[in-house]
Amino acid sequence: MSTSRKGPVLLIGGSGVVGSQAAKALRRLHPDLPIAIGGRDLGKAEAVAAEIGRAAAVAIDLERADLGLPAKESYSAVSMFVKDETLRPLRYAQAHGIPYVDISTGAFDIGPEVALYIRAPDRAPILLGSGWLAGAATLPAIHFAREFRTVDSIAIGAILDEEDMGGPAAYADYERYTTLVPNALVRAGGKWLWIGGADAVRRFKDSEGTDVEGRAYGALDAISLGAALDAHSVRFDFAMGKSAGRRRGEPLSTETIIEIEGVQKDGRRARARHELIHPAGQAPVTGLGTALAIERLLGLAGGAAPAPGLYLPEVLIEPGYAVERFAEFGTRIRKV
Amino acid sequence: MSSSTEKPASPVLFVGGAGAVGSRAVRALRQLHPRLPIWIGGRDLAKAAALADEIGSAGAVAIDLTRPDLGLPAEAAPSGVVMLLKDDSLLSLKYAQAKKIPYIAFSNWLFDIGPEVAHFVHAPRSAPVLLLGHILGGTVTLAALHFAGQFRTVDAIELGAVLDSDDSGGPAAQGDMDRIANVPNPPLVRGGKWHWAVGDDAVRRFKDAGGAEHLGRAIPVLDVASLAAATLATSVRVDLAVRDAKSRPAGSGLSHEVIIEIAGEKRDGATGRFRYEYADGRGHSVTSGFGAALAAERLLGLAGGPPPAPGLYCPESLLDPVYVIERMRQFGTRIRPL
Repeated sequence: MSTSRKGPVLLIGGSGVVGSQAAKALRRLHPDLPIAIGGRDLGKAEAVAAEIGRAAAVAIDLERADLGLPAKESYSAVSMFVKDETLRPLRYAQAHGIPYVDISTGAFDIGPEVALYIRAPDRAPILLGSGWLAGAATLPAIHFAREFRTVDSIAIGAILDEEDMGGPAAYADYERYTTLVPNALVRAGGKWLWIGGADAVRRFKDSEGTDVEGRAYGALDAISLGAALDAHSVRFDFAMGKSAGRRRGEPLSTETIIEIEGVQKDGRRARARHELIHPAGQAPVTGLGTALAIERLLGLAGGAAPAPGLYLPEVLIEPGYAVERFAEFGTRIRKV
Repeated sequence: MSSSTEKPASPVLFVGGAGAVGSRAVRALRQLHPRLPIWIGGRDLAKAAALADEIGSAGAVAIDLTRPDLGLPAEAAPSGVVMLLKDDSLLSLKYAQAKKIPYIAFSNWLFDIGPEVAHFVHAPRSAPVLLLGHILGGTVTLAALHFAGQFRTVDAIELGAVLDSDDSGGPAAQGDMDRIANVPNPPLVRGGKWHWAVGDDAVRRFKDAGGAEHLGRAIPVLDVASLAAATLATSVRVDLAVRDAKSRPAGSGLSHEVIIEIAGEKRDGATGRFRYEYADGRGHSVTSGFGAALAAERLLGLAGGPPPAPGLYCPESLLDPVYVIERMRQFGTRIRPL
């Protein structure tokens, strides 16, 4: 049902900070893939479309069930780069039987989308793609966890430069995750717990050994890792501040620190620390993460297009493949 | 229905089955299915055993939620798991998935379904998983959707629940109320948009069936997402008001009610805001238990069709509202237009 449709993949918010990066990454991965850049500001969308080529700009009206799209046009997938409170694009994707991915939904926030999936489970593949940087933390974490026979504990520490928030969509997400929903779910001692206040603080070291204070954060990573690995302890912490790059007087950098404890395949207990450094900041990485999701949903990489269903990135995208792509696009990965 | 010849030979496990909701659920299920084997699981085995004796064809089992086998013997083969308390470990869900038997998650707020959903996504073909974090075991939302079916267009669905201040339910209900504090701003739909209500946005005044006004506050129950998904209403919310027990006439017991308000255009052309009453002269654990029993009956394939395939479900995707309303009326709940 989902694969028979031809037509461009529709990037809603595709001219924004992350959306335009996704468009570029998708173009680099698939030179001939038709893309539609959707937005409220058609001029901005046209500029991005012209830059990447084989792309068109379309005006999106989220107040309409048809999103304001011409009835004669069909699309191959819908990818959201703004948090859309109407969920009309998800209903649109279901009505047309095309895949849908969004990257702005917290673990506390998935209920409305899940309910729409439950209402029509056979209509469309729905990918909850809102892990940190659209999977750029959790996919590598699962890849590195494969060095272990059993994982007891996994902790991700994400560092975002305070100048690397991105556009208004990212800021709205941050506001929702930290102010409206001030607590976060973690797995501790084999139990899912909500933590907040001082309990939510975790100190970890960045790539230069500087102490960073992070707080548990409601991105989807913790629930993905909790379901993917049989770990007693799972948490995802987020810190914002001056990045190592900028402290050196260089451009800002975003970092993801992945710490795993467990029993290795040889039976020995071990700890592993992996550092992922994104020298151009979060937007190109999030863009690539979304592009990897889209190519997978379209069946352009990693297997045939998935059947209608509810998905998280790690059940669709092969983690090792994702790590290769992130490295190829500039993420520096080192094990320390 | 109750004389079904296809009743499973293996017992359905109610974890928390001797508790405030659980004891009502197993008694209701026994009433519907006189010979269905039931396991009553809990920490207090004596309490569970007393209830098992009372209802018959039932056993008491000790449940250990820190063990992947739940502390059950390796040869145990339950037909389903009804989880009436919040299982922080989720080992009960993994157990059901491993055994490929249906699972009911009864104690989730809308904001804490994430881990259950992720476990479903990682093993979608293993078991039917029903999210039942709805008020009164999903029965109110099913009634609301039944009435909404009489409308051509639904602009708003708003539920106002009134509980007695001394109707605290059991410790599991108390734990749920403690957990709600983690997300102080309840999600609701307003103006066609999902919205985290802050301050006065979260408050709504509504009148009960007798005309008394109540000040309710939005609660993050799964009903909001179910009703929003099932309709195109631009306003969807569930508000809870607490009635002071001291205001109750001397000698009268607990009661609760939910006012269902639907605005829109009915199929007969009438437009406006229509009110419906869901009322029960007992505590809220009673109707919650009935909801859990009807859900278990459906998942086991004992009513409403064959057992559902593995998948993720909400009550409105599995249960027939007409059947549920009929059963609830038999159990003694009043459901009617006002």
